[in-house]
Amino acid sequence: MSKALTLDPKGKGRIVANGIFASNPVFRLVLGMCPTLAISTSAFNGLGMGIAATVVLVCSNLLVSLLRKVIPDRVRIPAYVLIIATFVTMVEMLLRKFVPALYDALGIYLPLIVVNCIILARAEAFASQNGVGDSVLDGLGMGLGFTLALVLLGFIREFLGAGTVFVGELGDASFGLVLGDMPDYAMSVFVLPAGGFLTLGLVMAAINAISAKAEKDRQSKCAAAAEETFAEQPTPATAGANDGAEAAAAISEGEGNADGADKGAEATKARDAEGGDE
Amino acid sequence: MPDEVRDGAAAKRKPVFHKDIFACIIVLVAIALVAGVLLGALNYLTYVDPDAAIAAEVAGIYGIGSDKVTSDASLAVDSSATAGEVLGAFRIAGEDGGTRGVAYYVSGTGAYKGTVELVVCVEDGIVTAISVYSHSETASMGGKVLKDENLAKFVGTDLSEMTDYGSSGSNDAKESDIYITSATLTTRAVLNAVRTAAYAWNTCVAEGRI
Repeated sequence: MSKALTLDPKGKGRIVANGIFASNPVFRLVLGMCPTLAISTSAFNGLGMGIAATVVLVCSNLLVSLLRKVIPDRVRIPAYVLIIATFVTMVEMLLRKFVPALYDALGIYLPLIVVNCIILARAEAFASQNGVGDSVLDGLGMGLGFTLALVLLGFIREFLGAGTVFVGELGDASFGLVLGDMPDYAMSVFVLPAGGFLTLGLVMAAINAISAKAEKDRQSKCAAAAEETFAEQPTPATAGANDGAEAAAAISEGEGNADGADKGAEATKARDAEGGDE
Repeated sequence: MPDEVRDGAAAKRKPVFHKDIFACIIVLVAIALVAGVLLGALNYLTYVDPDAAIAAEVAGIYGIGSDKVTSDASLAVDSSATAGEVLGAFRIAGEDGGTRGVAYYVSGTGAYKGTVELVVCVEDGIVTAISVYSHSETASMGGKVLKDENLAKFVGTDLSEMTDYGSSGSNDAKESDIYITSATLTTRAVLNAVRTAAYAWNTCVAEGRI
């Protein structure tokens, strides 16, 4: 967690990528579980909720960052909640007007974005301490990470629980794929809360296993690279000792001549001198 | 409690009337004012009048102008005896200017997530059209019950013959034509809504309002 909250602001792309992968709010930080489990019954619902949360995250991060030096420390949390609630209500009004089906499907979880811990956490931990650009990028990354997680969970639950792929309605248009007779053999438990917990747990376990393996590979590669570096660049003292040893071996083999003796003596001198430097 | 036992938290806490209290109040009031103005403007631009929306939907079903469907408060009934609520009633005008039928905007309780809201059009006690206005059911389960082709099984039902207005049970749901496996609660909510519409119609007829 602390690693996630102390970002390296040098790489702008890294801020966005951090929210999507390394600090994914659902799979890595395990935040916002209530809407995640309730809404991810279908991929379309997940996408709608994810986009709504992303819009609120970006806008609230932008405003909190802009006002971070104006808002007194004692009332920062009420001020953040006020800002977030304004944006959530705006999103709610727009959805009710233009996508009423999604507005109905999201139900109570749409106004509850106000107290979504991802949004409040980013406002408190990042936007209130960083510049406007970085805060917007952080909101975008976290929002995309949340959306990605909801769509992934929704896709799996919808496919297994309903036998359909991305079914939804936008205005008068309906879209999606019904997979033959799959709906007749679908396992409804995956659409129910128990299936939500099951799917989330399995996906989280898989992602943890993949990241652990990637981390292990990275560490072993680093270790190997470090070993190679040391092997390729021997210390001067060792080099001098080797030269000396070779020269000594040449002398002992009976090939002793002035050159060999001189070389051995020079090498020994050099080794002593460099060894003294250490 | 003796003074020396206190944990000292009160001493560490800043006083309520701190010198920056005015700054705090001004900032919060300013944010609230700007937010209020923004939300007011957006609400003005995006407000959907439910009565107008339902009138337009009923007019669309009948293929008539929206002006022929009018909200009529005199058709509203107290639905406390039912497991639903009459949220609105609309008089559908005929070509001669008389009443062709009535559209009830009703809700049924007991759904998987909250209530199911339906629009039930009735002519001479017979259901002529039924559609969903709002619901929060899961699309792949309860949503199947609420599909237009499934609800259309109610068309032709004689509401004047219905006498049971109480909450429907699981057996009622399973014996219903619209029942779909694993969507018992949604089916019950739809039955409750239709029973509420039947109660409203029969009450209005009995009291001579239609």
